[in-house]
Amino acid sequence: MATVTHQAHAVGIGGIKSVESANDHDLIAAVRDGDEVAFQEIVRRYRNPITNFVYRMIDDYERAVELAQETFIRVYTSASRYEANYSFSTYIYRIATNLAISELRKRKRRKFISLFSPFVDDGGEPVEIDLPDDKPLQDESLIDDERRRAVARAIASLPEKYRAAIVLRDVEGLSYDRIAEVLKLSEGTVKSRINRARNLLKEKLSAYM
Amino acid sequence: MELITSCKQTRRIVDEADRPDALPYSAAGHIASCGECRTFAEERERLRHLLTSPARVSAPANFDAVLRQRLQERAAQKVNPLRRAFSWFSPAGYVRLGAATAGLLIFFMTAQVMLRDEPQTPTRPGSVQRREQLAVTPPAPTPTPPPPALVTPGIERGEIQPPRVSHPGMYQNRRELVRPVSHTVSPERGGAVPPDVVIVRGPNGEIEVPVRPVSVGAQPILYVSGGQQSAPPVRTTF
Repeated sequence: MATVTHQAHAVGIGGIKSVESANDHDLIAAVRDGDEVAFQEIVRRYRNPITNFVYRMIDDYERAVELAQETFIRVYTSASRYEANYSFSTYIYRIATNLAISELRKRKRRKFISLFSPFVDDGGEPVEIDLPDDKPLQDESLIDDERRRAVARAIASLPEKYRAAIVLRDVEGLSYDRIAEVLKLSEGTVKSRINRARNLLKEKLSAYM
Repeated sequence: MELITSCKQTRRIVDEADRPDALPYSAAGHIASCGECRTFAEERERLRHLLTSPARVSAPANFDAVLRQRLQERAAQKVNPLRRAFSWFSPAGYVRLGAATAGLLIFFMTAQVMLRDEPQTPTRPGSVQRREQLAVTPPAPTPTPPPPALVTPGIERGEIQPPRVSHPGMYQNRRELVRPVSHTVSPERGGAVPPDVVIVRGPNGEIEVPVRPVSVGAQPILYVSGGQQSAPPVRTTF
C-alpha cells in the first residue's frame, strides 16, 4: 500500500460506521480511488469465508491462508478492472477459485506422494491405510475429528471441477446462479456437476451416513 | 412411466433445493408416498449435514499484517521502473546471454574445424607416392657468393641451427651451412625447373603439394649475413 494514502473522506466513506454499512460495490469503488480504509473493510468481511473456501478446496491450511492473501492482493491491484455487472462476492470467489484450482493442478504435476500411503492398488493409485481402532470411542470430539478428516479426504478426492461446485454450494452456501457466475458455467452444468459430486461423496462417506 | 418421471423430477427438485424443508408441495407429496424417493431425500439431507458439520476455519490473527506487508512489497516492485526497464539484465538474463554466446561460439568453432579438414586439392586414388629426386650436389669449387636465399617451400627434416659465432662481429665465413636434410630436392641443371609434386596422404584424404626443387647439401639454402637471417627458414611438417 505504498502508493495508497488515506483518502477516505474524498469518496464519502469516512469513519468506521460508514465503512461497515457500505455495500461491496461502494467499497470497491473507494478502493479504486485509493481508499485504504475501504480495502480493510473488504478484507475484514471476506478473509474468513475465502480462507475457509480455499482450505476446503486444497485441504492445506497454511497454503490456504497464502492463497487467500493472494486473492486480496489481486482484488487490490485489479480494482480498476472490476465491473459492477456481477456482485463483488462473485468476483472475489472467482479469483479464489482460480487460485485454488491452479494450486491443485500444480500439485498434480508435482505428483505429491503421501507419506502415509505408500501402498498402491492394482491400478497404481495410492491406497490410504486406515488402521482400525479397536479402542472404544470415549470422546465425542474424537468422532467429530474423524468425521471431519473423512469429509476432507472425500472432498479432496473429487475432480477439481466437481470439487469447486460442491464446496461453493454445500460449504459456502452460494446459490446456483452465483456459482454459475463464479465458475463461468451455465446453471444446468453447475447443477449437473453438483449432483455428480454428491453421488460420489455418498459412496465415499457411506460409513458416516 | 409416470412414476419414473415423477421420481426423476422429485429427486432433481430435492437435489437442487436450497433447504430440504422447503420443497414444493408436489415433491413433498411424492416423497411421502414413494419409499425410494424418501430414502434419496434422507441421504441427501445427511450428506449436506455431513459436509457442513466440520467447523469452519478462520483466517489467522496476523492475516491483515502479512497482507499489508505483501502489498507493500508488490507496490515496491511496481514503482521501480528502472528495474523493469533493465529486467532483461537480471541474473537470469545474463545466464541466457551466456548460454546463447557459448552456443554460437561452439557452432563457429565446429564449422571452422570442419572446413579446415576438407581436402583443398583433388587427390589421386591409390597409395601414397612420392616423387622426388634425392641428390646431393657437390660443394661449390669456388667461393662465389651464394645465391640469395631461396624462400621456397621445401621438404626438410631436422632443425635449422643458429649460426655459431665465435667472435661477435667477426666472421671467417659468412656463409652458414644448414645441417643437411635427409630428403632433398635438387634442381635440374640447365633449364627451367619444373615443380615437383608431393602427394601426402593424411587422415582426411590425399593432397598434392607442389614444391619447387631446391638443392641441399654443400650449397647453403639459407644465406646468413652479418648474423642476421635474410629470410626465415621454411619448414614443412607432416
